[in-house]
Amino acid sequence: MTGLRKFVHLVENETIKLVKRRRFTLVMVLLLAMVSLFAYAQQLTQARMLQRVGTLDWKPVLQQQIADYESRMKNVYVPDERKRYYQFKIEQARYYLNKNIDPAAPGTSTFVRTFMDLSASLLLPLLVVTLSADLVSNEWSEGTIKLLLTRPVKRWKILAAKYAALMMFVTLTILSAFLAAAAVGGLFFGWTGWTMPVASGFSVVGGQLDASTAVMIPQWQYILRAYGLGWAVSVTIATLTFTLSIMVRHAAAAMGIMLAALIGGNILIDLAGDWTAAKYLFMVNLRITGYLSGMAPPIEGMSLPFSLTVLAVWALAALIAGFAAFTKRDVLA
Amino acid sequence: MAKQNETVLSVRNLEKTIGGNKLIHNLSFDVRAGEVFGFLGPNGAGKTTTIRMLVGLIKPTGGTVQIGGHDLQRDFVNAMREVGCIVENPELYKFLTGRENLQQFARMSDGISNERIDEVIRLVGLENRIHDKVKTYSLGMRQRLGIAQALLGKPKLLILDEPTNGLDPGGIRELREFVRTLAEHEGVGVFISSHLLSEIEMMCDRVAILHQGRCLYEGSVSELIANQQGEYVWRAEPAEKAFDLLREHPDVRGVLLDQAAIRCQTAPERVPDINKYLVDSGIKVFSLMQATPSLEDLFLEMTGGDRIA
Repeated sequence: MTGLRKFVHLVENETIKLVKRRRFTLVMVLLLAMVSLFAYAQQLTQARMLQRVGTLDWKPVLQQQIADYESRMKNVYVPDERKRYYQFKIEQARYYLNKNIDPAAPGTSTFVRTFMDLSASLLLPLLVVTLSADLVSNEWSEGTIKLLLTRPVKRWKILAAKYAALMMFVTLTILSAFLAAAAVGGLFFGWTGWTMPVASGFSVVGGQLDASTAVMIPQWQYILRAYGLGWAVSVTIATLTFTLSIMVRHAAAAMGIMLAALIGGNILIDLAGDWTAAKYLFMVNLRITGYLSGMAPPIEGMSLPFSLTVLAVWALAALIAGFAAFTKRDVLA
Repeated sequence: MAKQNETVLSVRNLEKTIGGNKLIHNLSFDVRAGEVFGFLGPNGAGKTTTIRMLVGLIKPTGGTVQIGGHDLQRDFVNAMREVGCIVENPELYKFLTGRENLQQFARMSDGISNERIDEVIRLVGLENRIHDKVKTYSLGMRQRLGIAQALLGKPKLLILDEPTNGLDPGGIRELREFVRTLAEHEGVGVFISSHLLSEIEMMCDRVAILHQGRCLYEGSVSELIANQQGEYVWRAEPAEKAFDLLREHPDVRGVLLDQAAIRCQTAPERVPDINKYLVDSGIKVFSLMQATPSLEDLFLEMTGGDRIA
């Protein structure tokens, strides 16, 4: 038991350092700012839609969307990839019309849901990168590593404490994202919609949407799953960045590598339809909430279990490499 | 408190090779409880590499380090319980207060109470500023805080790497008294490195002299000086003639004429005969003195005149 108590002390140390460096404060401020921006933009889009369609009744809006997609598909310059995606959206919209479900019913819970769909692949990973990019390298650059590693504590325990503290703050970030979206969404769109039915569990067979496996679940359940997936993505990104902060001596370099990977991944998704091996890259597996809403997977053969496995393998490999490097390295500088 | 003469640090055949370069060659020495051990050498001699091996920051490629009887490689945790150290500058968490820094380190060891934290704060005289952030501290105050964290766990062995760096003369004297008190009254073995001999020769009982990764001397400061007492100074007239006679004498080496004084080296038992020879040759000898070399001179001599300051 004393071993566990000591480990709790180590995690306490790391927590204090993380808070006093004001990293988490920065993440919270950024989160709140982005949520407010999203909410404002969403409200503006709704106002525009009202102007264009003349009503906020969802059925005409959805029919208008179907018409939009159909006219875009007639454009000969649109690549086949895109056309498949539009076809997919059309079939989804028809499914909602048939089942008499408004997929974008206004209310804070829809906003909470949309927020995760929009931010799981880039915004949340970036916030998590901010938390972890210098978590280990700053001990080196500030020289405190010499004090940290000359205690009667094994090196791997010190690193494990840092990682545990990081995981706590990643979890807190996801929780805060939920609370911020719920609160700001409530102010903008009203506090309703939690029990509204949403369709989930679409499956994709040969590029075609198969609605037969779709089921109705209350929106709060859907949100729970989406935020769980967002947490998995964030944990993976935090773990990869954590290892980078061990390997790379400068926080700016670690930050740059992760930025390039994340933004590059978002671009790659649109480019790499034919390069199927790209599906093993962690950064094309981040639009993971899309599996819930029935979005076409970016690359043939990807599914929710596949993406979760890819993320887990990357995170585990990074963690092993990070611990190996940290416990063996000589502190020369 | 450690028993007198108990060996608190034992280094045997320590070696380190980095990238094909052998930085440390077969280093062995002991530090006993209650003594101040000086680790001397010019910049680049390998002092910092050695110290980092003593506290587990660098893994040796050969040899062993034992602290308080615990092997550092095999029993890191128990070995490190016996050590307090400052490696180079005392780099602490600048965004925390002095006390918060000490609390960080206290949590990483066993059984360090709040009372102990207050005790070391009083010991280094930081009571008034301990609740200020470290980034507002002067170098001297950071040095004190560094010593405070090193003493938190009541170590048997205190390792200080170039502790006089950046201190003013008053600070150096204060440190010297502090270190002597720790060794004499608390029985702590203090291992202290420096490239400035003059600053630490007064506080050390024994020294090791390191040059290009090799130990040139290990032993007490007084023996080191006694062994080397082979230098004599004659004041005689005519000086030129005495100089020539001494230069031609088979038992005399390194004859130098410095105005009216002639410096030379010889074995102590030959001095009466050489003096008689001078007198018999018609030289008027006004004085004959044994020159006491400073540790600094010896050091320069041993390390081949490397600049040391």
